[in-house]
Amino acid sequence: MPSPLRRPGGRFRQTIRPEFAPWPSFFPPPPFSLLSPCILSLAMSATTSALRPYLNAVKASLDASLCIENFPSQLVERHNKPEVEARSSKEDLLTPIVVSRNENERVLIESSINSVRISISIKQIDDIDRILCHKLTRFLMMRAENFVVLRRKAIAGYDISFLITNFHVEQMYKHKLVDFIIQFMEDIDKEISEMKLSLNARARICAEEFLKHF
Amino acid sequence: MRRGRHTKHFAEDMSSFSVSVGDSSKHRNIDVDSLLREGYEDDDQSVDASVVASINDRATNVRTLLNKGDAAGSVAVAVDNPPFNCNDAALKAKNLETVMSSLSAVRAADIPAVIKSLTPEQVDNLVKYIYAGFAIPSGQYSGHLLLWHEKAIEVGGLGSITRVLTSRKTVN
Amino acid sequence: MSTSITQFVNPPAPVVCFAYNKDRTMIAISANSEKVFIYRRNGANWDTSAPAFVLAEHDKLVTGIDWAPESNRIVTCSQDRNAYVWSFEDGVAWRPKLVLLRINRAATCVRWSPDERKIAVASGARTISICYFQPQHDWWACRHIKKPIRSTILSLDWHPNSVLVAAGCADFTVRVFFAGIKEVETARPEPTPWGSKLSFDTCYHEFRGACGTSACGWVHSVKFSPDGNTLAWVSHSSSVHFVTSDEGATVQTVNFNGLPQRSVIWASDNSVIAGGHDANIHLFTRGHDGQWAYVRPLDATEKKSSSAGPASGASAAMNMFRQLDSRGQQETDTSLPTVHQNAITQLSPYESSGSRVTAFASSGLDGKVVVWSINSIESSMAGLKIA
Repeated sequence: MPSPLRRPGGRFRQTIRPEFAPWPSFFPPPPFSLLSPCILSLAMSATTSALRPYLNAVKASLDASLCIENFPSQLVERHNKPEVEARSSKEDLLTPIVVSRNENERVLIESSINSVRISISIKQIDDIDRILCHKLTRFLMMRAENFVVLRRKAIAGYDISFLITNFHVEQMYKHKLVDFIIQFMEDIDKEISEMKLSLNARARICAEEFLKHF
Repeated sequence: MRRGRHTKHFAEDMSSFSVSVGDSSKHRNIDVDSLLREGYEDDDQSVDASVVASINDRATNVRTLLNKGDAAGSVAVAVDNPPFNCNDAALKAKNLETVMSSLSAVRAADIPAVIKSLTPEQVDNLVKYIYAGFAIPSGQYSGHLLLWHEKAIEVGGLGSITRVLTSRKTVN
Repeated sequence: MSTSITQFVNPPAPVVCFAYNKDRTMIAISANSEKVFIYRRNGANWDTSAPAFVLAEHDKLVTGIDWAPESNRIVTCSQDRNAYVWSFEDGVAWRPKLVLLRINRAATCVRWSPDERKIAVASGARTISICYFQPQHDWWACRHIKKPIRSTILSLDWHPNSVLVAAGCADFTVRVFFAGIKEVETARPEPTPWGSKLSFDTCYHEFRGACGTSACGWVHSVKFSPDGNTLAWVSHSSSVHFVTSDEGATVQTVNFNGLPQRSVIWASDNSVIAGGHDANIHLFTRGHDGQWAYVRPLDATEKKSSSAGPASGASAAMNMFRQLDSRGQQETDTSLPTVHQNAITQLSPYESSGSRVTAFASSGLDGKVVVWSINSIESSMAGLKIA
């Protein structure tokens, strides 16, 4: 019996038994995982041609939506709430707009007189992407305080959300905030595909080691 | 036993007491703010026969122009006079389909010329339709709409986007 | 006189509002806090090392400051629902006098009437408080204008005759009210082209911008022209609107391509200057046919990027990050190609000759107060004439 395999990071893991293998035993692992980087890079090159216009469109929409100012609450005296979250008065909210690249990748921008909520739906092609995206966004959202502009819970239907208020715009340059969001959108796609590649590589090595005994 | 009787008596009292408390605490659920403050209300939108007619007219006009091969002309007809005053979502979706079919018929290289031929108000309407097209869940037009968006913003500027944001009535 | 830029507060804090005294030797600033700082000028330079006076009576952000030129009194209003009138007593310090606003929400904007006998305060309680002094109680009492306002009032302006008030609200409308108070007026008010009914809180007009069938955005700033016959306002839909007091006049809307503007002033009877979220100032003029049109931006600072389009801006940002990534450069160019580095919050006339403004001041979220001279703007841009 092969010794218990340890994942990097020190978490103990059970030995991989045939019935729990993540892929069918008749499927030879090495060719599949060797192919996957090629498939991924092909997929990336096909969609990256549409990435620049998508990011430019999001940047223009953000530039227009981030025209916010200090606005004291109309319902509660001496309070100052982000109106896009409080949604107390209809006239303080603007029409939400969506910028989409395809049915999987969308950005929803909801603006109001003193705050903007930006929700991003990240490209997820298969189950592994979904798991990685879920875990990565959960990691980020749990540390939302460090990000300042990140929201702790994403809006329904989207993977991650930002909340930018007039106080953030006063403390930080507006054009740098927009650049940050665009850079974030680019980086998160890269992160997920890199993690997927390393996951597949590790899985291939595990499977090779395991199947050496047979 | 005495204690048992006492508790039963007490319990009966408590149950009747709790019923009356439930009745008198309904006031806690009233939304005081909506009753007290006459805030801003959007104007009502109602479906108007002329609006329905204009949607159908636009659909036929655009189809004839597209069949003739005049994609540029069809865009001008499609974005003119949007049906803002329409409450019916199905009608608005149909109108959006008409506009999308017209926009997707224009080749990428011809887009700047078509936009140049539109009036500023038509450019604003075009940007509204572009964002409405992005919001379609299937995302089938999104790739082409991104090209339209880039060129339309060059002409209309960020001001046309703020007009999409501030308009109280939408095209979708 | 060329453009002069002053950074008053260090570290830089956004300037929410400001007001100059009559001879422009002192400036009162709200630097995004509950204190009002007054700085003094010696000669050509402002003494920015420390404020000459600090007016600290408010609890929350001071949202409006106005300085009455003749009587040398400052009125401040804040988000803590209070307003105070400060007078410089004994040549030593500024003493506050309470203004009874009787509002239960934040105050957003305050203006002295041109005759300095009344104060108009706009608030989130959907009320305008017209305040007048009661000597027997030594405080400022007020009367309310409530109907038909339906949302927070964002801006106010008095008509030159000191009895009409225009209010721009977050419910997308501009309203003109009669605000004359019998006990306070020295002479009987005359009917104006705006309206003839002379009773307090009469709403003469409700104007909305003409943006197709949909209402235009929130009204950030509203101003009467120097002769009082035209009203100009800027709204969030990136448009400037004009209406004259003629019978049956319709609102003229000028849509333009930039970001929304937040403040507007009249440079003369036929031209208007607006500044706002794109950190730039823009000129609009009225032609001989009475039609208003956008002319051009007035900030002539050399643009550092090749063009101002969003597409090239994005690629410039991408290049910047690519440089950071590949070469590990920490230097990134964060500056905008305008004098102000963040949105402009308020414009104010600085110097005028008659009804023509020769210099105006602007304040921004970057903490700068910039004084622009119309002559130097005209000379730096060929063929420009702000008549």
